[in-house]
Amino acid sequence: MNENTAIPAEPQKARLREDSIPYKILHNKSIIAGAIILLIMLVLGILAPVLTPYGPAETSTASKLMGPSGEHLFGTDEFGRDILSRMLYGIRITIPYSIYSLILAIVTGVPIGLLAGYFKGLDNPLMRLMDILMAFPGMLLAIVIVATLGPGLGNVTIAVGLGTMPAYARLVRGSVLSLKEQPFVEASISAGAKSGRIILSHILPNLISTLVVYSMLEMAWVIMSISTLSFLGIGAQAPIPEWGALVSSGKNYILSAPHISTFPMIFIFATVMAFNLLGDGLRDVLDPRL
Amino acid sequence: MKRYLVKRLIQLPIILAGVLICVFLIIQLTPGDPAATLAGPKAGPEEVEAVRQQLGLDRPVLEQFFSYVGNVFRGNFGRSYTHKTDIGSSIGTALVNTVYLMLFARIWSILAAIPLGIYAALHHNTWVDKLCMGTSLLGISIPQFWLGLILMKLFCFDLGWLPFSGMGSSFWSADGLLHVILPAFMLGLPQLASIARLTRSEMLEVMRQDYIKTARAKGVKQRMVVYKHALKNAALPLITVIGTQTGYMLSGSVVIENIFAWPGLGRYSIQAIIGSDYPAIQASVLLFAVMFLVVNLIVDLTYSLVDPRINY
Repeated sequence: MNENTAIPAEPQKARLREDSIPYKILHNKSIIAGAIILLIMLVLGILAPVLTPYGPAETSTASKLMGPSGEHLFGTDEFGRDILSRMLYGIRITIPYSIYSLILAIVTGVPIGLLAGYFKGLDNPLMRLMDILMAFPGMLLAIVIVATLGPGLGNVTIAVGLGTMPAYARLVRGSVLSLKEQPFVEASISAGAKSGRIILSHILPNLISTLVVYSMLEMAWVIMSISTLSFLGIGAQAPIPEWGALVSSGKNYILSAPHISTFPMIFIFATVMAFNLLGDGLRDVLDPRL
Repeated sequence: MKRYLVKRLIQLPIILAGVLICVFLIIQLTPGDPAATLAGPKAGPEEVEAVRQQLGLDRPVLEQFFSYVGNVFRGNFGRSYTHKTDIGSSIGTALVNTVYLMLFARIWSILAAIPLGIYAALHHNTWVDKLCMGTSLLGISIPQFWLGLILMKLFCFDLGWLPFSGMGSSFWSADGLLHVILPAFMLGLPQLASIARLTRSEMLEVMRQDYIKTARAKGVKQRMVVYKHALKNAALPLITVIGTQTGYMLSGSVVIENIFAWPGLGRYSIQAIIGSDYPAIQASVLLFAVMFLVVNLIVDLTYSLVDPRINY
């Protein structure tokens, strides 16, 4: 009757070899520290409505510009809004919009880099175009694009994404140029594989680890740029609780109530640092050349 | 060297033409009708049409482009939509103010970063070295705009040592110098971190070379070894990074100028964007690009002057 139920074998302890990549990732202090900070941020963002009794736009004339207290852990702003609530709901703005921005940079920059690196004829025209875009430092390019599209969170997201694109194009082009000389690519060329197939199934997979490392460092830059542009007043507009906009709204009260600007800064600082730590750690593990 | 110079000088107008096209397209690509914006919300269709004709926006695009380029080369950037004044003169002052600010930031950050980097390299792996290099991760993660606000509160309000914001009466008066301290400090701070880091790694590399051992064996004093033999050879990569970083300082200046109400190009451009002042936006973008190109050209040329081994 019980013939079919085999006695479960003693579960073998899965041991990672010390030179395997998962082992190195789990034993890298930077990666662990960065991942823990990000995890905390994500949980705080997801649980925002549960964690705080105040809505992000809930005003109260009775409690304006209050310092930190038991009732309002991080105090209130000039409209009596709870600063902690606004910061927590801000996670739901900053993280997704930064990801959109990064995705835009990747889906535009990577194909340009692949084409320019693989097809000699396209190299010059595409990269000269990128040179013109790179004639502006990333942030300045983003400002130029916002100037064209007009202020707003959506436009800033597009602008920062497009501002990051040339850097991706340049990185990918450089890697493709060296991969193209590798024997396995030459082998598939001589075997008669089509260009599209070589790019997608031989070159692109070899770029993944470089792209992951680079994207972590870029993510730190994207978050900082979006909040900087919002701080300058050309990004997220009131009453969106974007962190840079929160720091900016406390600007006029910096003398009497510096906490309004300071608490939101902590979230920007922690998130940017987390991505920098992740990027640095992953670089050591995955791509020591970068 | 000559060939390289010629090549660069030919490249420059091509890139500049690309930038001019991009800048010109700002007004064409922008959503909404600039003529309607300028005429104001109460204007009727005839008034909007009159404004359009006055701006030349009814003419063919190519004709508009060439008249725009012609005007730019004559230093005529048009009239500001918001201030109704000539852009050329006001943006000229703004440009000078930005260069003045950048000059101070550039000088102090180099003067502080290079000795710091050398010190860290000579005391490799001591706590001083680790402290110097560890703070740079902190430095890139703290939002510059917040740090600026807090330092302003500390030095201008709590301690009362420095004037609040804006610019002093004249550049070289004591008042003017007091006004530039805090913005220049903030603008140079990110530069300090990256230049010190690079000085350290370059010096570590150079100090391992054989000619340093030879110099030591000959009995050359430590000071001479460090400053004459080592630093000279570490200088080349430093110049490149200082150059590209000076370019990045331009985007830093946008942030700093807006915090400290410094009447430079960065503040001018953000106000133009917020006010949808298209001719002013075009002019400031163009000037930023030209400044960036000029900085890069200077870097490239210094490069070959410093290192005679380089022959393009």
